[in-house]
Amino acid sequence: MHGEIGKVWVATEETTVTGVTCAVHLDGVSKSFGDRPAVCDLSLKIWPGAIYGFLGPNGAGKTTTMRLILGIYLPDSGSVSVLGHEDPRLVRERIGYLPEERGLYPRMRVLDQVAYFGALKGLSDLESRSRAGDLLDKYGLGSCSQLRCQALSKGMAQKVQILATLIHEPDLVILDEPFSGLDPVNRDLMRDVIIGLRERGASVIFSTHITEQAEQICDHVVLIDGGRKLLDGATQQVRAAAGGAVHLEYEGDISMLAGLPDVQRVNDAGRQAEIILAEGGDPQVVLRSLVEHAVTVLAFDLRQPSLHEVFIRSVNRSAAEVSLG
Amino acid sequence: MNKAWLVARQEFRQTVSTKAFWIGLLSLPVIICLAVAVPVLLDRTTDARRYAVVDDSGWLLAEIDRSIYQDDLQGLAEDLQRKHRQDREAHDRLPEILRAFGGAWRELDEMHRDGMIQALASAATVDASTFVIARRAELLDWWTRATTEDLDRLHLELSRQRFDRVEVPPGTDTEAALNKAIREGQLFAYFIIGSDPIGRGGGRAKDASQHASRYDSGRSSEYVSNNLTDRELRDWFAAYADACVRRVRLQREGIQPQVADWVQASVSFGERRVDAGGEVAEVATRDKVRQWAPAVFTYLLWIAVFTSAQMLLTSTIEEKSARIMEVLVSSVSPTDLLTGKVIGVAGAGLIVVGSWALCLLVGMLSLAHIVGPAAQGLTQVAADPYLLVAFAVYFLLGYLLYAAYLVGLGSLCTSLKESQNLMWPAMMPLLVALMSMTHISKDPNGTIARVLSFIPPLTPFVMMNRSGGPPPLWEYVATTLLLVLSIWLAVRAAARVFRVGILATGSRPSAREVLRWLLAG
Repeated sequence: MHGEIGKVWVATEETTVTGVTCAVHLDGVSKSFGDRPAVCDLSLKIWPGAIYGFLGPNGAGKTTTMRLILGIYLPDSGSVSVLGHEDPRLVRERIGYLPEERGLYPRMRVLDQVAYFGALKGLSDLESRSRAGDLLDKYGLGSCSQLRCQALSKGMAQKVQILATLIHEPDLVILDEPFSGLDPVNRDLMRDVIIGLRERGASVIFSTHITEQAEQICDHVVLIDGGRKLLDGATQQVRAAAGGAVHLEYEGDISMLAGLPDVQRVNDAGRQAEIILAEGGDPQVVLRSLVEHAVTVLAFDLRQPSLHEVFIRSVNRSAAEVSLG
Repeated sequence: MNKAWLVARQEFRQTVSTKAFWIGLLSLPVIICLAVAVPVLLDRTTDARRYAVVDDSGWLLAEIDRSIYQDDLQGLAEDLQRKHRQDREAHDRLPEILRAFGGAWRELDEMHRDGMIQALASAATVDASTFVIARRAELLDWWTRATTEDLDRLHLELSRQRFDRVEVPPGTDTEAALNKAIREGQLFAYFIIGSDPIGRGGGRAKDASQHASRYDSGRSSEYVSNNLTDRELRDWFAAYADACVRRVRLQREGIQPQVADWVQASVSFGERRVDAGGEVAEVATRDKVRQWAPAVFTYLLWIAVFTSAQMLLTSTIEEKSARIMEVLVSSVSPTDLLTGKVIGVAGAGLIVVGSWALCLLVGMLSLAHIVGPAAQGLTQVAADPYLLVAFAVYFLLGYLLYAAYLVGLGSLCTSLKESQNLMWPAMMPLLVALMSMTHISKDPNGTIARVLSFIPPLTPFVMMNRSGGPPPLWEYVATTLLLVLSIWLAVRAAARVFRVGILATGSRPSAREVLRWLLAG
């Protein structure tokens, strides 16, 4: 599956390549609310069986893009194709969606709630109830199935929301900030669910502004800011294209690094730092400087820049272009 | 459409699982039961009003007592007959003198029964039956001695259970003793009957100068009590006194009672109506009930529309504030969602109204002996297919119009409190409909009624109310078409606002923004 992704990623503008159809294809899509543009001329291809991370600051247009893919909004211009259909509304039953603002009917029983969302996705009453029961048992909520949702703890309610999104085994899963507000246990559950979906062959799109998570899970990242696509590529390629970097763990003062011509930027977290090398920069010069300034080096690891760095750099560059333009 | 039904089913279940629904469902029956039961219960638990009478005339009190006794005997006879017919066991437990009295009364025809009661209550023995002659004293003795406890035990009712006369305390300063009894709560009230109640004031003589005219005898009779709100005893006793005094006045003036009745008889206009065939026909109770029935239906319609639309508003706002909307619109089109919600809540609303209607019907049937012939008329009218169909149609149309506005409103607000400020465009026509209800019932084809019929938010209520008229067919057609057109426009507008509004977060959109959504299509 990864091979396919790698192959198509570099290949083509076509929606279908070697028999594999794009799960999502946005072509020159724009959407405005009044005179405020939310998405501008966005083109994007999302291939089956891969995890796509939508990165971008708050208000970048991630949620609007997702709503365009879901057919909740219609584009002002451009075209949206989802699971081979020009109108996403025709394939609603093959999509699972977990919005950032998510809730449950407080007075409804847990089993009824999950089954209701299954029924809305086209499952029969019998099947949706049976699947809801199985899912609740599998994720340790079997004993709560007859409780009203208002009686659930926040963590349990989050689990129920995730199950309600996936009960119909969708081919495309769209998760808007899925990790926000989750406790550590449910964060791990969500991560496992996303990876499990990929193993099942489903495409997963999730938005986040926590780059570490995207770096861990995503096969592919799309960076959006101001409604425009700034970056789009396989996670490793995007990082590799950003040049070299050093991961440093230390004790002492490293402020002198900022003045070195071999160093482009330092993301200093106090005891750890990511040192972004300038083009052609030599990591040995950095190490020598640290030793000369009596900095205790605990770890010095040559790496590709983190997604966080790519994110910051791209957003800053975009802001600079806007101010110049 | 399948999804719309799923949403409708869910909406219905959600609505009927709320406390507000059950409170709404049970409120009317409970209110009706309380309205019927509480006064009866209070009446039963109220202690008999103890009163005394100072009779300066020397004769009027005896006359009043005789009249009270006569009325008690009349009520007793009818009660005995009912017990004899319906509850023989209870009848057989009664004292022998009562059973004998009831038996003698039952054997007589209508005219002779009155004569028997009169004879029992007076000393006259002319034309009296054997029972009267033989047992009059024994019956009077039972009546005099029977206590309220005895009467309760025997399930009998006499005036004494409500108003119990006690003897005036002996001594010279009677009024001071009575005043003391009132102050100490032993007595509810006392009456003073003047020495010459036949005079104009029915009053008590103070001095000779006040006897200047045979028609004017001075000071009025008095009623003394510290309870100024309960006038029941005063009115009851005064009615007996009036009747006795009038009888004596007529006798004194040599006027036959029949002549007096004739003089006082008012001019009576018999009510007739013109039926469908153009003929003059009698006015039956059913016709009168039918004239007013539309007003009842209109009121029911008003409550039904208001309640259902309010439920829809609440549900929309709850879903929006619980952040369920976005998940829903990713699975269902906004149109299906809107349709489902409207249908689901309409179903719950119809159950509420249906249960009220059923409750009213059952209540009227079971209380037929209290409501009288009107009950039968009401049940006939309530079962009238024309009124029922009109009710169902106007409920549906009225609900749809108000639902469209309120669901649009609900999609803009994040809390019920926020929605209250925007409710007035819906509340104004509802208030006008409520305020014009009585006027339209009285003048269903007047100018005001006709003009209001053509204002769509008022059409369902006004046309329902006018059905007693009824209005000409073309007005039904024209107003309904106008209403349907308004609903079509309102639903389209609501769908446009709903589609965008349900996903809008943060502060409430401005009027300009909403207008832009409406125009955007």
